[in-house]
Amino acid sequence: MPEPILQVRNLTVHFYTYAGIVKAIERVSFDVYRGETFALVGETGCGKSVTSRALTQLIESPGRIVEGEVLYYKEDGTVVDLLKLNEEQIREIRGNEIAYIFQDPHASLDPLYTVGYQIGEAMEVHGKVENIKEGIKRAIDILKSVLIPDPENRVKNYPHELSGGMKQRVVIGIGIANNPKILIADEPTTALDVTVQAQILDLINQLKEKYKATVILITHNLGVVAETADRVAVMYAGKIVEIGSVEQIFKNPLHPYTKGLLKAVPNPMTKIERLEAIPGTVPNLITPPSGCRFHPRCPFATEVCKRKIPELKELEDGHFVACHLY
Amino acid sequence: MQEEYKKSILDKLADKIVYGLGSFISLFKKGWKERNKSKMEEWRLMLYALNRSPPALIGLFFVILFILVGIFGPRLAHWRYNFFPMLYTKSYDKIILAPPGSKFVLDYYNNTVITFPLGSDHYGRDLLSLIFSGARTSFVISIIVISLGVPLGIILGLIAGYYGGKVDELIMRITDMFLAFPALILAIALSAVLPERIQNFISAHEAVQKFVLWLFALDVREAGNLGRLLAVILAMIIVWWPAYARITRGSTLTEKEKLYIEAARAIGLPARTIMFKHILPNIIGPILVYITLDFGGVILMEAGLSFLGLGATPPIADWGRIVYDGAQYFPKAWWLVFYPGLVVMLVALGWNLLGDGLRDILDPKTRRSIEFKVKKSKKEGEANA
Amino acid sequence: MADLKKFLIRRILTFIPTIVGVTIIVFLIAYVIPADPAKAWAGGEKASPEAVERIKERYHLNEPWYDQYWFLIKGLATNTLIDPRTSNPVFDDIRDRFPVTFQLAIIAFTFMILIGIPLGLISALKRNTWIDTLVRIFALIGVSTPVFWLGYLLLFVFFVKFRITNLAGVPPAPSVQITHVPIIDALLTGKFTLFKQHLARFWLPGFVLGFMGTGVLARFVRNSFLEALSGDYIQFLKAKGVPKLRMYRHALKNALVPIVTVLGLQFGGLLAGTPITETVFALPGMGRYAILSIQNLDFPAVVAITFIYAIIYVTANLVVDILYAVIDPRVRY
Repeated sequence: MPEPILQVRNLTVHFYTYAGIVKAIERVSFDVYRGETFALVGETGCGKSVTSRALTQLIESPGRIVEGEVLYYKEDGTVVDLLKLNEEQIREIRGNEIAYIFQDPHASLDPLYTVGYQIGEAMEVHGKVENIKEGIKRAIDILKSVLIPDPENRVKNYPHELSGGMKQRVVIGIGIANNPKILIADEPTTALDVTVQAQILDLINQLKEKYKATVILITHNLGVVAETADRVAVMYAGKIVEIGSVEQIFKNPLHPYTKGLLKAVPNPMTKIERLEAIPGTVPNLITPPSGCRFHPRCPFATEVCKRKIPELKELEDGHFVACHLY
Repeated sequence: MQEEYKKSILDKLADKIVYGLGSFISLFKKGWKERNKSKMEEWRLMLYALNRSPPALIGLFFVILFILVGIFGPRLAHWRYNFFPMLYTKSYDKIILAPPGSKFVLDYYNNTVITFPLGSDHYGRDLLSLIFSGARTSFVISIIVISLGVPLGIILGLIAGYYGGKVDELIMRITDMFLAFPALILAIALSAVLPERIQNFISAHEAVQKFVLWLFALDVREAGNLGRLLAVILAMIIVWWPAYARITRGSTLTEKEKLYIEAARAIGLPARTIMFKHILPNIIGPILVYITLDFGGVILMEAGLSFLGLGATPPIADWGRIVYDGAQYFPKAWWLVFYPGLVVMLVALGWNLLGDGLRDILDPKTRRSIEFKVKKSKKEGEANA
Repeated sequence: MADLKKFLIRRILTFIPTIVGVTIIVFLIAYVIPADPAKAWAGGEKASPEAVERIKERYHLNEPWYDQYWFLIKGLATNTLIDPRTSNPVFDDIRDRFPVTFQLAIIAFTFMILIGIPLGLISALKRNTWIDTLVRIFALIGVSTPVFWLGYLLLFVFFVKFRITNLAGVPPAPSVQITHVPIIDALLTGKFTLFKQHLARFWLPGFVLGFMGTGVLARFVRNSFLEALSGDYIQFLKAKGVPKLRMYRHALKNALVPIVTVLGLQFGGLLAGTPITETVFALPGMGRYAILSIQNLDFPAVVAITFIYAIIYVTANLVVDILYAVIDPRVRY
């Protein structure tokens, strides 16, 4: 029986800008089970990055977490709501039990410090090593485990001396430095060459096995999802529209948006017919559509879709969908 | 819930100015107003943004005041700069260095009473009138320095940035040579050695001499003084252009990489057109801010140079020079240092406030939020109509 | 770190063409000096034509420009340029005045850093509060105030009214010279009364000189720090679980790069302000000497002093560039 490691309930984040209140994500709920690779998919702007940051209160002004709870099941059996922790408590968890990998490695590393220092720092601020010097020594091993050649010399390199792929490996190294229980990878390969992408994904998988971690993968690339994920949640315009296992989602998509997504992308699991685009554009989140946010673009929309927000309903074992068709 | 955008008086004034300007230009270029509607919108929004910033408005007020006094100062001054009251009174020893508020009778000048609201200098001249006359000096000097030095720097910077290679190297080396000197030091050295040569030139060309005298509202008796005056101007121009060459070159380099420049080159536009019609308008924004801030800088440097004894000598009215002449009587005749210095500071402050304000307007964030408010209330206005 | 060494060598090598460039400008200035001073140097109106001719020979004023250039360079480099007015080698006359100016600049610089940087950091951390606005106003006023005006104003308050400082000459340098900056040497050799004397004499002019730059520096520090704080890597640091103080350290180091550059420029501004400050406070420094020389038509002195100011500034910029490379590894091409 898979046990949950993270339970997100009704997570809502709003951004207060001069143009109005952007309702970035609204009542997002999903579970993540221990040891799995959980994918959060959707197009650009659907709120998946915001969701991943909100998990550990990483939302900066003008954004604010308006409501919700994120229940984290620790190793020792206790459960804690991450959103209720204070500054110091959540800081202890970040980079330690829950680690992040961001999209652009160039933007993640401080250009003035060596990579060895930055890896060592991740360990030192959480007390895993005595001082930075120790940390840099350990960083050599970490560089080895992320498969960077010649780690003894690479530790002394500055970020600008490394290629994009290597930088991302360093970022991953920083992520796994403290044996995290959850690794949140936000579009880890989008900024990289296609040839490097596969390597990075492999690396993440290997490390996940090695450290027995849970991976939350944020991406808009369904191919990546099919390759590496166990379970998937599909997001649209700040809401979760469907959750299920990779099999369920790809073989039996329920939500019209999911169906449209899969038709728009070559799907290796079913026979490829025509590629179709979903008509219309992503809605303005300051004034989102009433009721179901997808209804303006949905070929099956009915009256109730315009009025009532659909709730997630479990249709088969572990397969949820938020749609009035069901 | 969303506030309606109320136009203040200043905003309505801004509208009138922009549309008036548009109509004015249309007199020369037919149909300009219709073709450039969006540009005029831009200007209107920028002026609205300016209206929102009290410091910028204060700065604008001082600047306008300065310009007006700069142009009309010599007329507004109650006493001409080369009128020496001490020659016309019996109390010639008391009338010089008289404190603020003193009054004297000019016995040999129809017994007119002369008052010194701000005190008198060591020639017995009214300080207030001198300040008015001095405004013309500062104003003309700053206009000449900026209007000659800045374009020189900008053009060189454009050329260096656009052509690159050896041309760039050469121009930048020359620029660096000048920038190796602290500005005022170089200006001092130049102001010291140039006067004679310039004076010789002026004396040889009567037309130039007449022109300069007119510019500065000076009597022909001051002709011998012009060399020193113009030396300071030339010195400052030489000191000023390198910085503009540098920043223009930097902006040009960035702009050059943009796609529309590549497109312009692809369709065969000549270099001159690309540089001046395409690159320049796009980089001019921050440069305009620098120019505004630099107006204050020129006035300060000019005051500094004349404080050190360079530049025009009395009886030509110059704020810094008044301090130089009056400093030896400090602190007894404190007004000779205090008031001119205060005026210099207020003028520089005005330009700096305005420059700061302009910098904020050009910041896209402030502009966008105002633009948004205006557009929104317009839409609501139309919906309600 | 081998990178750094290579960069250092490369940078120091560019020092030389810069100095050559400086001499060219200095020469141009000297070249423009009117021919008439030859007369003044020879003794004014009463100068005999032979004396004037001899002066012209001595200073090579009749020769083509490249000869004159060489004469100038040689004279400056070997201190054989004789001042016609004092009959001393030009640099000898300046030698005693140089420490005064340099000390003034250093003290002003210290004021600037001690007040400017903390103010900048505070207004960055407390942005958009009254402190921030106050610093903004301070910077604005600092940049608009004429140095001489502020000087006389404060002189009036502290000297005329309260007698806290004095205006007579300068205290002597200590017998043991380490840095050749009297006030520092006095401190280092333990001569505390001498140190206090120097302090009393120089604090007010130093403050006045530094005032203009302090506000600008504070604003700049504020903006650089805020900019660094919004850097992309900061978000990642937060996700790493790095405490706030450590994050500020990262941001500060990144902010340091533009700050160091601005400090270099400000130092140039300080140097430029020394003539005025020395005049107001009657300090016997190079700047004041230059002004007096101008009045005496002593142009060789002016040329030499301009040259020295440029050398100091170029050296300061060299130091800035080196610091820049030490902080930011990307610069060490």
